[in-house]
Amino acid sequence: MADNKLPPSVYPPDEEGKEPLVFKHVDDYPEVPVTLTTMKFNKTGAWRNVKPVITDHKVGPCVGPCPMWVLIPKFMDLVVQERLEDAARVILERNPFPSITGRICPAPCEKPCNRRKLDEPVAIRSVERFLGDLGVIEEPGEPTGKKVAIVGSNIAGLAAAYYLRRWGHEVTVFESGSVICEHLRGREDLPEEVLEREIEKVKTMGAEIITNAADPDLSGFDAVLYAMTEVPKDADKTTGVTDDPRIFKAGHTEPVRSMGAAKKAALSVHQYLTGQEIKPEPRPSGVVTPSQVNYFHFPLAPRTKNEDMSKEEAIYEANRCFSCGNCNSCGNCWVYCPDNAIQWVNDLPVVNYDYCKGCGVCVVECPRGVIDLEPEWK
Amino acid sequence: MSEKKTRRIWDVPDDENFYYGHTACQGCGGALAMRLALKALGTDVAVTIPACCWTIIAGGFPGHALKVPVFHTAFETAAIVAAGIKGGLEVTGRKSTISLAWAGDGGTFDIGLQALSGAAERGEDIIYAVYDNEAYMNTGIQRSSATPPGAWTTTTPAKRPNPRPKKNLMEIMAAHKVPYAATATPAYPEDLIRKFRKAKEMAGQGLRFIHILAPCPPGWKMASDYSVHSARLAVESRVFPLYEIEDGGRKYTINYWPKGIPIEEYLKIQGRFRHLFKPGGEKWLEAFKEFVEENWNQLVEKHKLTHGTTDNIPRGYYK
Amino acid sequence: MSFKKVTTGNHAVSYAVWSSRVQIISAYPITPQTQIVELLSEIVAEGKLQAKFITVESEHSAMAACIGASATGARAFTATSAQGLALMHEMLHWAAGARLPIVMANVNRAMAPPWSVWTDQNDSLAQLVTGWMQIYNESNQEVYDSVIIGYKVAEQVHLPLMTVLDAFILSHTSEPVEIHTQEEVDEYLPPYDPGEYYTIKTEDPRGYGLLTMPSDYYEFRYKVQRAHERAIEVFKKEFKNFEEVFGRKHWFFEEFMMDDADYVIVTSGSLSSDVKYAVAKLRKEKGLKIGVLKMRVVRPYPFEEVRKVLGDRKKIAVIDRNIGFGYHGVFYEELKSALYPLEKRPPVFGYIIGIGGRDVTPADIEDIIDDMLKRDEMTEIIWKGVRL
Repeated sequence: MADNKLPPSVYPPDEEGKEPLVFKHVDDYPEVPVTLTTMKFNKTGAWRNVKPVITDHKVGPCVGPCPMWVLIPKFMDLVVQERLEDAARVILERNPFPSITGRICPAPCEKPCNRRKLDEPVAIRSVERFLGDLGVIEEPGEPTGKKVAIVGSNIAGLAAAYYLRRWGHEVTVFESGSVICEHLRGREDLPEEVLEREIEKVKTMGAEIITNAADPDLSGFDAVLYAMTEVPKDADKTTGVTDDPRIFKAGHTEPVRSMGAAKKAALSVHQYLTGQEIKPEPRPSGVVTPSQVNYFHFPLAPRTKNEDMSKEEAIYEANRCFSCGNCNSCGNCWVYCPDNAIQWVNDLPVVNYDYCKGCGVCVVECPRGVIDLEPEWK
Repeated sequence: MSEKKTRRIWDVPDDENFYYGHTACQGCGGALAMRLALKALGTDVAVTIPACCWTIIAGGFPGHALKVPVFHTAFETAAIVAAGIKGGLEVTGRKSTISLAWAGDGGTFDIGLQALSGAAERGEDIIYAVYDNEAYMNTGIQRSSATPPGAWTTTTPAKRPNPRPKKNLMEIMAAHKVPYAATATPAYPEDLIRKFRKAKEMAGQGLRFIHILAPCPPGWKMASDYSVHSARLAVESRVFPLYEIEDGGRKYTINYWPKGIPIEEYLKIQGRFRHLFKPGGEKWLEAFKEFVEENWNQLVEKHKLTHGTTDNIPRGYYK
Repeated sequence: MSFKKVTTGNHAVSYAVWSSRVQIISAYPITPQTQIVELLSEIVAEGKLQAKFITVESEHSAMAACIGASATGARAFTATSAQGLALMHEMLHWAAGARLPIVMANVNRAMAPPWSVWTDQNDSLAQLVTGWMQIYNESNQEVYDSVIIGYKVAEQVHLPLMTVLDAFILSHTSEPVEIHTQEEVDEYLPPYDPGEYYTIKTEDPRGYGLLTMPSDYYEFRYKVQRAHERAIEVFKKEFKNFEEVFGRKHWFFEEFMMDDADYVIVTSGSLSSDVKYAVAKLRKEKGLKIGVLKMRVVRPYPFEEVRKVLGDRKKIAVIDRNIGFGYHGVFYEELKSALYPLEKRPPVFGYIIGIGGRDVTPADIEDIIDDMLKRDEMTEIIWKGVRL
């Protein structure tokens, strides 16, 4: 009845492999002013001069102060997901004895907690203790055939032993006295059985601990690490390297800090033994500041006072964590994108740069500072 | 399809009835509002768009940015064309299709008010949504009757800013005894979606009106990344309370008790209020605060009249 | 079986709308149109016509409602007059630009100020460039038929159509009108089939009437004009079909005593009856070879047909019940340009008469004919009946 047939040579340009719409003749147009395709041909990404980048390296302000740089937001997020064993493994990655630190650590992580500005800091230490007390045991690494002697069975020595076993080296700990880790014994805040359990863990990992070894023969070892309860004067503070390339030293008067120092020295030992350049682990960068947190997205929730947490309390407390710098797939960037340019892939946000106009709404609306706005041209 | 597992905290449908490639400015609150509204309404919707920013956003020939049909019409006719479309859909056997009028504040508060009033009074079976960016943004930020007091626009320069309070359109709609009128902003997506769903469910009862505060970064002279944030500040500072009027203007419900943050926090991020914080701006700041306070107090009283208390209003955290 | 009913022009419109199975009626009252929609609202209220009646708050909205409804594929109708039509102006462009086959009855009424409710054609002629088709009527029967033909043509070429009747002289005056049964009208006028993508469909979502750049807008305007040109052919076909079904002849114009006429009076609307009376009288009394051409369809303008019947006459007088301010009567202007391409063309004289419903008598027409016979060239606007 009417002139309403589309010209057959016209295809939507957003269909792959098709020619774009061409209007060479008046009959190429529809009879009425009506659309023929979607706006997908209009790649609005070209408008952008800044682009949002969904980062995966940023950390909360809690991580830096931790002597062992435990990725607190990451394990908190796993607790929220009730993946408790995975959460414990995230801690063990950097802190071998969460049951101990979960009791005696002065918790410098809680001081700068971004949550402080809203109500109270997250009870990080208590959650750590809860995870430590789950008793997750890790496997030693593939044997490397290298032998390491650790002098001193204090907590630093045990921590170093733990990691060197994780990396597959043979470890012998020499204790001059008769008691392992004597300096942590008799503390009110650290029950004897907790300490014993953690020492047992190191043994289970395959480290040999020899007591009453006041003057051990260290000649058969590929490397020697002196674990001390004070800061060594003749060693590099970040790597534990001494004048003798085979000898490393680490320690601190404060037990948790000594663990941090030992961990760093153990890494140097590992690097030395595997022929790598000795390079300390870089300090976590990209700290999420309070100005990057969108406080409106968090309801008030009081801090759990109980330090010996139940599972429910631990999950509640982990939910209080802002998960700074750690994307927990909350979907804010997706829900607030005016341009529909955040796609959801494997339950994670992905920016569609073909269409993202770079408005930055996702950057402000990300509650936890995961998304950075970077200039399109540097 | 298997059940989709997601950790997203949002009870917001996945369906995008909205294509990327649309031509809204960066950070457009009106574009986001439409995206969320169509998530709520689905695709069995015919949209009527009068002259407004969305005339541009929906795309230029030959492209279309929505997965629902859009009939573009003249500035003052959103409500009546939507009613005509609804009538046409009814008589051609498509009764379930929702007719949505989607207009800016100019097309609603000003030039379209007559047609809106007529449609509201007759009880036309449409949803009328106004995305209110508080001035004629599409033509370059001229004052409308939705412009708040003290605001700069290109027709109310900073030396003589908008002298009058913003027109209270919700009250005008309540006076028409519409079955449903609600305020919403894209900063509270679940609230907005719930209201559109409610309006959809009330099909057949008359005109349902939804007033959306849609931040306009270029028009409000603010950074585009503050778009959603500014809408949230508007709610939290009581500048734009979230509430519903039901039962033909009888029942008032405040949906969320704002934190009551200082109004300055909302005003300071917007260049259109910059002169309020300069010497001589105090009286305009005062006027703005007075306007906000009066509206809020009246609203609380009306809520109390309906519910007898304000204790039933959710506080603290709302999305 | 059809039957004769003595009815006013307004009610003739209502009956035709009823028989056309219109689905959406939207109107706002204005004298002298109001009776059209009053009767229609009764017909709808009694359930005789399955339609939705929208009682809008302005003519602008009346046309907007029709536009919305027509955009969904519903058959829509409205009626108005003078100020109402002027208020609709914006939406008249919209209806035509969106290619919506709305039919509207416009009762010709003079524009204010000063206030007047009586007839002249300035309201409808002011809308000539909106893209609407326009039919002018002399009798209530023509009014009735024009609505039915109107839908048939409009829906084929996707253009809106305005049928025009004079205030009071037709709108409020009763004449016998042959009203047809629903079956007969149904035989001629099938339900509206809007075609593939003229109408809103949620299953095929598109944007209608959207923003179009200068690179594309022009072609859409060309298509409106092309549709008008096509409408000439569709009108021809439908006039023929109409005659077959209903037995009444219609054409772009009506020729009265034209066979051997040297002189032709061109006119339109109810004025034509006076002109016919005077012409018949002069033929009879003075043997003057004179005839009448009553214009009916003026958009699209039937150039070819007009040239064919007027090209070889000696003199032509155009009587306008309108004034295109700053120029001349509109029918006069248009006829002159229609004849201009002819190598040998008759002189055309323009007369203005009956503005604002001023009474026109056959004697006035005889005066005009006398003047035409004496006149050799057109030097000024000739105002008949104004107190000069």
